[in-house]
Amino acid sequence: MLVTAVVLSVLFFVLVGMPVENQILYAIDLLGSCAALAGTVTLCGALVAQASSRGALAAAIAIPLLLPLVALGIAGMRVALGEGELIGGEQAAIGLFCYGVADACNRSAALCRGLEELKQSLKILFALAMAAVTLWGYSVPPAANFPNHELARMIFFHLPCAITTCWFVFLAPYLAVRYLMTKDIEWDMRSASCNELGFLFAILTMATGIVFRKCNGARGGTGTRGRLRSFSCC
Amino acid sequence: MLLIYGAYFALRAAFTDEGKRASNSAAYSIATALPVLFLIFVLPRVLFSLHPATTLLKGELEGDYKNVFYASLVLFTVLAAWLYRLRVRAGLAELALENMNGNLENLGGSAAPTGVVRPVPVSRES
Repeated sequence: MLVTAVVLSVLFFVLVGMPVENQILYAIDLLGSCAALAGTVTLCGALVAQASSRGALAAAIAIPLLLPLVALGIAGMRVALGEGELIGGEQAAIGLFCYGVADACNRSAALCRGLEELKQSLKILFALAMAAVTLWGYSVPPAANFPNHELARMIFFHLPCAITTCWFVFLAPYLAVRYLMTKDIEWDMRSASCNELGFLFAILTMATGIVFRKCNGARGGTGTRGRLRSFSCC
Repeated sequence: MLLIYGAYFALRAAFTDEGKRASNSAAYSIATALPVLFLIFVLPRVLFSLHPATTLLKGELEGDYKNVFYASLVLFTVLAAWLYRLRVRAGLAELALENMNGNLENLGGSAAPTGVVRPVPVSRES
């Protein structure tokens, strides 16, 4: 798929003569799109392999998964071709690669099994590193733009918690797909574990976010806009 | 996000059969992947939000704030992976225990041993 995409891209740009404004972003989008499309279609095909009406079922379950990928790919390509802001293209590229992150995490978890012998020393090292980073965070000068300068350091806990929640959010559906492919109850247990830990980190994100909002002096969630936002979330 | 997680756990609790619980919760987990992506990446940028969208991507974190943030992110990721491994090991132990209990029940349900029972002498000191 990647070879086909590269050949078609070269042919298109040579024949049409359209310049690529951001070559790196174009290459990243092309690679991410191919990986995401191949992974999604392969998973959907494997899911319906044992079903009786495979063709219709594969299309039915693949379209909802492919639509956001196509939208992200188009958004990234538009920016790479010089239309729109760079930030949008970078976000689209990140979104495309998020589908590949889950597989990488799963493989790295398998590699970690070889570290059993160093477990105790790794625990001590991790505790020391956590303490060092916390102390390092307190040594950073207070943020001048915040009403409460000292509490601005909450970002060192709030944002990593949110990003960690995202890891679990992306890993859990992948493991659920693995369960449906293999019917091995271990994959279901892994998916449920991901959701449990995602829930835990989401709670931590919300708690640190409330503190961060208070130290930021903002008043979100009130008034017409706040009500509209709450209504949309509901 | 929290509502989706709550619904997921409620769905898991609603099924007693292990296979049905796993299949239904897996299907729900996959079905919620798209709304979750929308909630994380789209909704905060469409509606009013306190979250700035360009803090990391435009490099608005500078100096020590940037260094401490990335160090903290790495450590939180390691912590998450460690917790995940611990939870998976606990889950595997639970599965092994359930399998062991199932095998004990399949033995026939006779709690007493089938061998010869011999009287044991008990000495009374009083």
